[in-house]
Amino acid sequence: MSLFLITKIISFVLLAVAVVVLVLMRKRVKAENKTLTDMMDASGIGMVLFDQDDKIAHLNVHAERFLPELTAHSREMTFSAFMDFVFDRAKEGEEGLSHSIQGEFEKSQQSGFYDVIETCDGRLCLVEIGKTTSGNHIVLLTDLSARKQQEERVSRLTRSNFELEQAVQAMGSGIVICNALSGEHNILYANKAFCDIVALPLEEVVGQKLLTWLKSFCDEDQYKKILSCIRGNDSCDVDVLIAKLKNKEIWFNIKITPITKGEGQVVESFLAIFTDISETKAREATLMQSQKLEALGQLAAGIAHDFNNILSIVDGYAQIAKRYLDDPEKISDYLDKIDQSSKRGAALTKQMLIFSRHKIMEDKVIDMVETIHDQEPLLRSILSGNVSFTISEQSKALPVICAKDAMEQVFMNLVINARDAMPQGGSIEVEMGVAEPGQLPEDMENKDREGGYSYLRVRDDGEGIDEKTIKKIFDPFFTTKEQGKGTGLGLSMIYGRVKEIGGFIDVSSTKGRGATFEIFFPTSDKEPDKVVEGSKSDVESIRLKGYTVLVAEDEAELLALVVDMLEKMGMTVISASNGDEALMKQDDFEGQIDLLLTDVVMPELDGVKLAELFHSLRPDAKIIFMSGYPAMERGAMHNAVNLPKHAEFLAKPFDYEQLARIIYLKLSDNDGEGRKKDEAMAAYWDTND
Amino acid sequence: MTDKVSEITDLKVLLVEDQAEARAMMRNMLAELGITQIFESKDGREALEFVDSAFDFIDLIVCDWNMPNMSGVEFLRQLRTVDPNMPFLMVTGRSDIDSVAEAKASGVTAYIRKPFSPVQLEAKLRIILQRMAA
Repeated sequence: MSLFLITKIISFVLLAVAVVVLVLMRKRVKAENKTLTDMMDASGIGMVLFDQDDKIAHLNVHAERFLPELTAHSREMTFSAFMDFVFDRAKEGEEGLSHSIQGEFEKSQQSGFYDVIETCDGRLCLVEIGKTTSGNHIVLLTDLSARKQQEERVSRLTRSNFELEQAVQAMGSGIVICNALSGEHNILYANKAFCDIVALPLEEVVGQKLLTWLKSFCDEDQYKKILSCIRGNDSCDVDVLIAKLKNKEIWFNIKITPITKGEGQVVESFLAIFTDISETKAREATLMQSQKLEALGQLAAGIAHDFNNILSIVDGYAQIAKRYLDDPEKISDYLDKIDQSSKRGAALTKQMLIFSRHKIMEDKVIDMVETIHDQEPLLRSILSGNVSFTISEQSKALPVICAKDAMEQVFMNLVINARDAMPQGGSIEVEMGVAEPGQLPEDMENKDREGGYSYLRVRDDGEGIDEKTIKKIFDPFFTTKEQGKGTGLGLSMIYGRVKEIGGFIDVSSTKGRGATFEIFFPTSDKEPDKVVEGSKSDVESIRLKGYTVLVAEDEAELLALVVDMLEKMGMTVISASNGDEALMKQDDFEGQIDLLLTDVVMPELDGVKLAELFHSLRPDAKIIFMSGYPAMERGAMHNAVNLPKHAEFLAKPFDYEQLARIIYLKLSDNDGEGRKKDEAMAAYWDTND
Repeated sequence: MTDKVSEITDLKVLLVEDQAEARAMMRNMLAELGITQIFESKDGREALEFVDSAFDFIDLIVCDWNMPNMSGVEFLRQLRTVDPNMPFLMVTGRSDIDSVAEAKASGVTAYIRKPFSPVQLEAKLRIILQRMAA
C-alpha cells in the first residue's frame, strides 16, 4: 500500500472521530440545554437561550407567551438586537417595584442585568440577563403582574383605611367596635366622640367591657334586647335614658350591627353607635304635653257640662220640694231624684279620678273570668228585658295583669255603650279566652310579648259604627250621643286605661251590623292571687290559699276551735272575741279581708250590727253568721237578734265538714245563689240606712 | 279629754271644716248617730286656740283634710305637739294611698274617705272609742 493511501485513511478516521466528538458535544450541549429548558418550563419562567454566535438558540414556551413578537424573528435575532428590544419596552415609573426587586437581586448572584418591561399584552415582566456555564447568554423573563396587583391593593387599602379612619373620627356620634367572640365583648376601637361621651381617654376605653357599661344605663328589657341581639349577630336599635338632669333628660340612641366579612364567615366583631337624641326627645315631650293640655281642656269642658246638668237637676228638685213641704210623698219622690243625681255625680268623679291617675296602684294579677262574671248581676240590672246578655269563656280561669277596678270600669263602659247602640233591643255577647298570635291586631305594639295576651270581646248587634267615626272613636271627648246624654269620657278613658296596663283595644264594625270591641290584656304567668282548691264533695281536699277571714266569737274555746279549723283550710285568720275588737282589728289590717265569720249573739256589739258596720267599710267581703237560730242559742240572750233576710248562716254546733263546705261555696263563687244572697243582703242594709 | 266615754252618743266632738254646708252636713250626720255635743271651727288656727283653752271639753276632733290657710295635716301636726293623745278622725276626699299613709304617719286615730255613709261613720267612731279605751 502506498503512503498516500495510509494518510487518506488516517485523515478519514480522524474526521470521523471529530464528527463523532462534535456530535457528542452537541448532544451534550443540547442535553444541558434541555435540562435547563425543562427547569424553566416547569417554573413558569420565560427563557431565551442564545448560542455561541449570540443568535437565539431556544425560546421556551413561556418566553413565547410573554413575548409573542419574538417568535416571529427568533431565528434571526441576535443578542444585541434582543437587548434593543428590551430597552424599547422598559417600563417607566415602576421604580417602586424595581427597587423592591433590586434588593432581592442584590442578594442573588446569577444575573448581571435586569429591568422591568411591559409586554404587548400589558403584562409586566422582569428581564434578567446572564450567562450559562457554557458562556452563552441566557435571558429569563418573570411575570410580575400578580405581585404588582397585590402591592397596589395593599397601597389602596392603606390609603382608604386612612380616609375611613378620618371620617369615623370626625363623626359626631360615638362609635365603638367590640369583640363579638369573647363573652365580655370588650372594646377594640373607639372614636373620639365616644371617648368624649364617656369622658375617658382612649387608653382607658379600649379593653373595657361594653356590656357592663350598658347595664348601668339600660333598663332590664333594653339590656336583654341588646344582649340577645349581639349574641344572635343581629342588628338592633334602642333609645336609652342615660341621665336625668335638673332641667333636661339625656337620651342616647344605641345602634348595634355585626361586622360581617362575607357569606358564611364568623362574625368577629360588632359595631355600636351612640347618638345623642336628647333634643329630639325633649321636643317629643313638649309636643305630647301640649297635646295633653288640649285634650284636657276638652275634657274639662265636657265635665263641666255634665256637672251642670246634675246640679241643675238637684237644684230644680230642691226648689220644687220647697213648694210641697206638706206633701211627704212628693218630697220623698223629689229627694229620691236628688239622691240619684248626686250618685251620678259621685260616679263621674270616681271615673275622673281614675282617669287622672298616672300610674296604676299595683300590678295586680286578677282572674279575668272571675272579675267579668262578678259584674254580671249589676250589668243585667241595667239592661232592659229586650237585651239578651251572654258571657262565655274558653278557659276556666284567665290570669291577667290588670287592676281589678280598671277592668271592671272598662267592661262596664263597653257594655253600656253596646246597650246604647241598641235602643230597640238586641243581643250583647261577651267572650273571653287566650289570644292566638294571629288574632292580635296589626298596629298593636309589643305583639310578641312573652306570655302573650288574653282577650275580652264585647259584641253587639246594634246600629254599628261607620268608617269615618271609627277612626275618631277613641278621641277624648268625642261622642255621638246627644247633648246631655253622656260625656264620651268612656271610650277615651278606656283606651288610656288599657294602654296604661300594657294592653290594647281594637274595634271593628260595619254600619248597621253591630260592633265588636276587643281588648287584649297581658297574660300573667303567675296564678291569680287567690286560689280555691278542692271540691265540695271532697271536703278534706278544700284549700283556700291566700284568703283572709275575720272571726268574731265571744266564747274562748269555740273561738280557738274555729280558728284551728280555718287554719287547716289554709286561710289567714284574724280572731276577735267581741264585735268591737273585730272592728278595731279590721281597721288595723291593711290587706283585703275576704270573709267575716261572726257569732250572732255577743255582748256590747252583736254580730249583726258588727256585720253592718263591717260591710260599710269592706263591702267586698263575704259574711257568714254562726248560729242561724237565736232561739237555739245557749239561752242567754236578752234581745232577739234578727238576722237580715238572705243572710248566710251556719247553725251551731257544726263540724269541720260543714264549715269547710259553706266557706268553700261562699268563696269559690261557682254558686250563683250565693252571689244573689250577698247582693240581697247588701241591698237590705243599704235601703235601711 | 273628758271622763271615760262609753257610748258614741256621749262623745263631745270638735268639728273643723271650712265650708259651711259641709259643716252642716257633718253636724246632721253626727246628730243622726245621737251625737249632739258638737263644737265647730272654721279653720285650723281657730281650732288650735280652742283646743288650747278648752281641751278637756272635747273627746274627739273630726277634721277635714283639705282646707285653705292651714291644711288638716298641718293642723294635726301642730296639735300633736301639744296633745299627743287627742283622738283625731281625718276626713279625706283624696282616694290615693299616699294621703292615707301621710295621715297615719302624722298620728291620726282613724280616717274616713268622702263620700261616706252614716253607717261608715258609725263604724269609725266605734273604732275610735275602742282605741280611746285602750
